[in-house]
Amino acid sequence: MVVEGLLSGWATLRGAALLIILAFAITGLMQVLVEPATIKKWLGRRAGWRGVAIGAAAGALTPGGPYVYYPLALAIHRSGAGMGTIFAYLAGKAVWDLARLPLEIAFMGPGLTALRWAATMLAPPVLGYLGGRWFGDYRAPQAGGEQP
Amino acid sequence: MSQAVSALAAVTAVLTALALRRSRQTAAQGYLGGARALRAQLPLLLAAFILAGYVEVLLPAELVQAWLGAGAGLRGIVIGGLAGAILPFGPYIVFPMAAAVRATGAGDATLVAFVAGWMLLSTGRIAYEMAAFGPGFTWRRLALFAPAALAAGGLALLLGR
Repeated sequence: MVVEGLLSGWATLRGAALLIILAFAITGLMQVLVEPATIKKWLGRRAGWRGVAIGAAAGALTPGGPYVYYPLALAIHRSGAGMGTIFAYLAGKAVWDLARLPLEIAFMGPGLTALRWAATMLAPPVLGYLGGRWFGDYRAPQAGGEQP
Repeated sequence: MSQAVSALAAVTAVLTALALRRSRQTAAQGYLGGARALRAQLPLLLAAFILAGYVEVLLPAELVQAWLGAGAGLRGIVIGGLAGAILPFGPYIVFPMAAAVRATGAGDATLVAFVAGWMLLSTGRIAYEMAAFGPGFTWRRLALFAPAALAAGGLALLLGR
């Protein structure tokens, strides 16, 4: 059983090795092509429906992990974007992330990926809109920690 | 899998061309950044694939089909969503794990709830979020995003019929 599990994992990894290498190359290239400064310029001071729409699209285009997009979201917030824009950006990054899409198709298959996209398609605009309405007055603390 | 490799290779080629249009250095920086990230994630990746191998071999198929299979309905969605939400890992680990659970017989709606739960609620980002926006923001976001993860599973159940 021990050997069987190892062999099964190894077989999956061997089959997916090229996919993983390509997915990392895509993330690296997107990181140099979509610069944080460009996204910040798009989103600074945006609010309302326009902010929600552009926030969600910017989330889809932002590559990388939370160490990349949270500092960026905070910079956008500090430059005056509404809370709706921030929630739409985070939801767009969560479910519309384009850099992650090839990996999802590779492992889950095109059918299940399409079903997942259909089921979460409306989440970024809806969550952005509701987040802006309900939590629009939230302000990030100046240096981390609890809200003053 | 070979179709997926071709699609990814095509995307890589387009992005490389775009980067080269800016400069050779931009393209080189992109590849270097990707290689560094891969090197940093490699130990975790190996562990994840071994874990996924064991999930496939050790999880009793009858149990998975009963609790998470196509007939599991709302129970499968809630369990799938919660399982996705507690995973602190990146996509290179979560997708192989989801594929392993799928191979043992989990239903599509359960898998959509699992992936959506991970995407919207994953614990892996909470430390970064609290450091940037404060815990008050995290509670608000979780309250807002959690129903969306369950709704995604419910929608998948309806769409998949």
